[in-house]
Order: sequence, then structure tokens, then C-alpha cells
Amino acid sequence: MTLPQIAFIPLRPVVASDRATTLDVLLRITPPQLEVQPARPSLNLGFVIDRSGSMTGKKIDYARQAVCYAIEQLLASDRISITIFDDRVQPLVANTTANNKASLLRLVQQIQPGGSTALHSGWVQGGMQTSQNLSAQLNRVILLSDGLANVGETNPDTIANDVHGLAKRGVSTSTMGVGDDYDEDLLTAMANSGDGNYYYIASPEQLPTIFEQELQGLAATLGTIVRLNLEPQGDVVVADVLNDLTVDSQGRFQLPNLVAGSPQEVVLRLKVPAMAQAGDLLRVRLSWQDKAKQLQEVESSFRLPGVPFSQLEEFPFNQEVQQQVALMMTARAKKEAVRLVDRGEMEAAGQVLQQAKADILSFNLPMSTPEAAALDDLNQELQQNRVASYRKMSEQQSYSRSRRRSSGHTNLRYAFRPILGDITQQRVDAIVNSTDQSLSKHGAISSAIHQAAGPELEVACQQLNGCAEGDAKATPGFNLPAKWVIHTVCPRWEGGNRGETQALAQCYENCLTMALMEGARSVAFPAIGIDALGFPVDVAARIAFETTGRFLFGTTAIGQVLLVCRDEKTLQVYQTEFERIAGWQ
Amino acid sequence: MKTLQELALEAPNWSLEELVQVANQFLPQFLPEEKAHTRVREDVTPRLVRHYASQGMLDEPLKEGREARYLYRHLLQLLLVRRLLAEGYGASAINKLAISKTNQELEELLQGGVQLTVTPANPALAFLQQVQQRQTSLSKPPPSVPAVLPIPVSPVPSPSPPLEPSTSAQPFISAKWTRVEVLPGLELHIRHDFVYPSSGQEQQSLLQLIRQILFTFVATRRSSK
Repeated sequence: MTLPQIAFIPLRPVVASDRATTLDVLLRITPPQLEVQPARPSLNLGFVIDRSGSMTGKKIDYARQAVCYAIEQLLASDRISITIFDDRVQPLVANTTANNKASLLRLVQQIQPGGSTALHSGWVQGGMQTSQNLSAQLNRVILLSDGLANVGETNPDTIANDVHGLAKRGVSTSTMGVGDDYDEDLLTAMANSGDGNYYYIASPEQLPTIFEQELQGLAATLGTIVRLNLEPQGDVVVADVLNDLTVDSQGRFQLPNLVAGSPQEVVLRLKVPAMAQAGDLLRVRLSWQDKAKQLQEVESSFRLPGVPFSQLEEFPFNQEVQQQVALMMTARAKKEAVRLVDRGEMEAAGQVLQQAKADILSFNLPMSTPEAAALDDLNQELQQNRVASYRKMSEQQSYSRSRRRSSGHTNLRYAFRPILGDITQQRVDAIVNSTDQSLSKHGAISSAIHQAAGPELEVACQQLNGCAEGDAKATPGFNLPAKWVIHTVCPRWEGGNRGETQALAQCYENCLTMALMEGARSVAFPAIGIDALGFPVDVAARIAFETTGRFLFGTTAIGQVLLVCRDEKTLQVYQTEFERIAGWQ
Repeated sequence: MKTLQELALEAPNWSLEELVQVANQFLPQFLPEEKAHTRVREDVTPRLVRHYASQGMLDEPLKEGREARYLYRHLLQLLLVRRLLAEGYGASAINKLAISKTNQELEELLQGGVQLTVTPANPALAFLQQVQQRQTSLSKPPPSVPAVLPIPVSPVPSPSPPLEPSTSAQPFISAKWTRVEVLPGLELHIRHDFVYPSSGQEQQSLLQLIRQILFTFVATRRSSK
């Protein structure tokens, strides 16, 4: 396995040589990409499902569906156990290989809701089931609950401690909270100390998607028990770590699992003394346990040239770092607001949120708009006194940003959405044109765009020398409100067996990459592939959202993406597919 | 004879011949007893040590001028490699095992410390059992529906478990325990998968551990009276 890359991105590329300065540094950890045929780790999963009375109805239905989905994804060599609990704990399926799926599915279908919530005992039993056989490369308990732990052990510290103890012995824990009545502090703490993930599932319909995400994450996991050690050099001081990370007994920061395709970003604030001579400012050591349960470690260090303080201003801020700092600060403001709400100071909390919104907007960064929308939503929950859901939304947002998914978008709902409209009229930095390999102005979308942009667009297109299927090329927007047009070529649907879906996914990916390179912060796509090209609308929509969603989870340089549908019927299909992935966390 | 720990404190720096001599002194107590007659029972020779080192099974020796020097760590590695060979592991299976372990891990592997004192065979399970016991002793626990399969004490034909997957390999907590009465009032419970220590040194460690536990238990019982 190649090693994760560590990159240091300073807010300014220099430090002062003649006096002390403060410098923000973005530490980006990029796990290696999986090979084409990834050998995913063998899994040993322990599902712990709350079936207390409050799960009655939709919640238990979707929980059953989600577990069934998970069972279907497992390989015959993976292991699974299912524990259900209310005030009693019952191992429904003891730890077994997942080779008799039919009978497993039948058992899951029989789960019925019952009494109250013995969460801790349920977790202990699930942990014991999982621990029966630790030969798999990844052993994880996945606990799903919608209620407060009200039977047995209920002290959050004790529970988190137990979860941590088990994680140290090779079994991690992820938690999923459904609805608005569970204890988000407890479930977050369990996931944090359990080296797993925490999910807030506002509506039960999202359950299957979240399970899908957790399983995909597990399959792409390259390292667990990830620790970051910071060693400032000379008189440099680490004044602050802007992420909200737990520090272990040896002073190392606990990071989330290393997952292929999910970079992590840690923001450090350094106090740098006058650097008359260039020297290392900081060394970092990243250690983790690989799939073979071997301890791995990489080291990296960085230095910057010194210039006289008077010249510092000549070096502009790095926008990426500036944005990440702003996002971390917003996450802190959200936590602060929650603290105020807990003390009953609703008004002060509202002010903190308002101020955070004003701050992020004043930076005018790609993420300003989506982040402001997120803050608006929080404020609205608060104003309407829906404290339970406010608290969960807020905690989930700051958890995602400052712990789990530090880089990229954390909430797709604020990043993009399908709308009804005319692609040529969108006020965004770049619009996408679905065209043919010679970049002609024929075809429904292309002709509309050419007409609106004027004849110069055709001239610009002719100079591009065509475009291959799945590729993307950019031209100016001329008379369009958009600054750029990104042209892409999608193949015709021939039944789905000729790589059409992969080609369409490539179209989206390459357009977004092109937008990134041109510096566009907002992009509007048409519904590529439908109508004349013949893609089934739901297939086209699913690819559009999954590809764009994954892309946005990896970058914050593009703040907003719109999917412009031309008619109501198409919009409905796109809306349905969007809802499926909008809950990704 | 010195113990390993005493030897470690001396920070030895041996020539190849000296290492071989010390190793041959120490080996018998670390080898499985029943393997007394096999080939690996034979003494270690300088040629063998060089061979193991060239195979990457031991750390490279240090160099002092033209002479190779060996440390305490080399001894530990050599003892472990011989022990594993004696137990029937192939050289390819041993591979880098000895050089990847710390001195402490090597000592524990040799003395059976890992299995007997530091980590139980399944640390995760043992940990959770502790948690469960803590809960049980704290309060009346939530009535736990007995694990689908009760632990079979006597061969009373229990109703067949309600789950079909259970017919596959070891699906349930199916610990089988054998009770052995040592003296009136003292019993040993041995789980079916317990691995009895094979070397003299490991057996020593086990007995010591039992003595220690018994001693602590008796002491606390006295003081609580």
C-alpha cells in the first residue's frame, strides 16, 4: 500500500524574518486511492438495533430494511451478528458467517418493537457477539437507537469509556440516532471514543442510505486508530488546533479512520518567532493501524522562507486555508450556540448564529452561501423553539466539520439541489452544455445555449478540436450570465451494457474538475443524458447526484451546484433521487 | 542459572560463539517438552545463527571492526525462532516475526506472559465480560433474555435453537467448561479451548500466576473478615 500524503498549506507562503507572527496552516492528509479492484477488508459487523416502543411504525420498518440491505452487501466470508434490545437484550443472530442470507433476512423481518431502552446492555451484547470471532480485518458494532438510554447503565462517561476500551481491543463502534428523541451527546461520544462514525438520521427514509454509506466507508477503510503527533520546532508554538479533536494520554490527536477518497484537513494556528534563517517550523507524525493490524507511521515537516515583516502584506492569503479556518470558526460558533441554549440563553444563541452568518458571508468564499444557508436553518429551528432537532442538527454539523469529514462539503442539502428552469439563464460562474463530439450547436440543450451565448461561442467551440465521450472542455460564456460554458459529451443509451453509466459519471466528474480549474465557485448542470440520448431518467438522475455528491465531499472550492430540469416531470424524478443522497453525512 | 531479566540488565555484548553458548544454556527451558526428540532439539551452532540472520529471521549482528557482535535482543530472537521451529512452524511462517517484536514482546512470547498475564486470548471479549460483571454487581441488571443457547452443563437434549444459521460453524457463545476438583473447596474450571502451556518456562509462569491470584484472593478475604 502506498502511504497517505501529508501536505502543509500555509495561509501565507512566508513568515516574518524580523518579528514574531501568527500563521494558520492547513494540514491535509490524503489517504491513497484504492487500486482498481480494491481488496476490501473482511468485515465482522455487529448490528445493535433499538426496538423499543418508540421505534414503532416507519422507524422499525426502515431499520429492518437497512439491516437487510447490509446483509445483502456482505460477502459469504464476512461475519455478522444482530442484537436487538428494548428493556431486554436479545441476540437475534449470534455471530456467524454471512453465508445463509435467506434465513438471516427472514429473521430480521420478524423484528417487532417492544418496551424501553437498555442501550448500554444492548451494546455490550452486540460487542460480545462481534468479539466472538476477531479474525476479520475490521470489526465494528453498529448501534441504532431513537431513544434515551433509560435502563441499566446510563452514565454517558461510563458508556463512552467502555466503548473506548473495546475500540482499543480491536472492535470499533459507530452510532446512528434516528428522530429527535435520542441523546446526541451520548451517541456522538460513543462514536468518538469508539473510533467509528456518528450519524443523525432526521427521517427514517434515510436509514438505508446511511447504512450504505457506512458500509462503503468500511470497505474503503485503510487505517484505524489514527493518531497525529505535532512537534513544533525551535520556539514555534502550536497555539490552537481549530478542529475539535480528542487528545489521547500521550498528547496525540485522535483522527477519524483513513478512508480512501476522503482527505482530512486539520487547521493549526502557529506562533512563529522571528525566522532570520529558514528552519523547520513543525514536524508531524501520523500513525495508524493498517488492515493487517500492523502499526504504520509517516513523518513530515515543513519550513517557509522568511521575509521582512514590512513585505508580508505582498503575499496574499491562500483562499483554501482562509476558507477552512472560516468553516472551523463557524463550527465553533455552532457549538457555542448549543452551549448557550443548554443554559437557556436562547437570545444570545441566536445572536451567535447571526454573527457567524455575517462573518462567513463577509469573507465571500465559495462556501459562504451554503454555510449561511445552514446557519439560517439552525436559527429557524431555534426561533421556533424546536430545541431537540436544533441541537441535533447543530451538533451533527459541527461534528462533521471539525471531526469526521474535515475537508469538503459536509451537508449536501446546502451544496446542491435540482431546480426547474432554463439552463441558459442561471446566474452561476459556469454552466454545462451537453453536446456531441464535434461540439456542434445541434441538440436541444446545445442549441439553446448557443442561441443565448451568441455566435462567438460557435467560433470558440470550433477551435477546441472536438471532445471525446466523457470528457469536458471550457469556453467563455460570451452573452450568457455565466462566465464559462463547460462542454461535455455523453454517449447514447444502448441498454446499459456498454459503459454508458460510467461515461455519464465521467461527464459530471470532468465538468466539475474543469470548473475547479477555471476557478468557478458555482456550476449549473442540465439533466445530461435524458430525452434524445435515451437514458432512463432515474438512472441519469442517480448518476448525476451520486457523482456530484462524492465530488463535493472532497472539495469546498465549489460552493454550489444546481441541476436544472426543464419540466416538472423530470424535476420530480430528480427530486426523488436527490432525497436519496441528500442525507449522506 | 541467571534469568532472562538478570541477563538483560548486564547489557551483554557477545561474539557469535558466546551467543551460541548462552543460547544453548537457555534453550531447554523454552522448548516444548514433548518435542524432546526432534531434530530442532539439537544445539544451536554458529552456522545456524548466521543462516537465520541471512534469512532475515534475526536482526543483523552489529559490527566491531570485522567481528560480529550480538546483544540480548539477538538472544531473545534466537530463542523464539528455535522455539517456533520446534513447535513445527516452517521458516516461512516465522519469517520476520522475531525482528518485528520489541524485546518485551519477545520476552512475553517466550515466557508465556502474553497469554497468561497481559492479554487473555480474546481481549475484547474478556473486557466486555468485565463490563458485564461490573453492571451485574452494581445493580439488578435488565433481565437479559438468556443467550439463545444456554451454556450446556449436562447433556440434557436442549431444544434445538430457533435459528437456522446456528447450524453453521460456531455461531453461538458455546463455551464448554470442564470442572476439576483440586482439593475439597477448590475447583479449577477449564474452557475447552484453553491451550495448556507446552514449555517448562510457560508452565512456571502459569503456576506463579495461579499462586499470585490465590494469594491475593485469600488475603482480601481475610482482611474483609
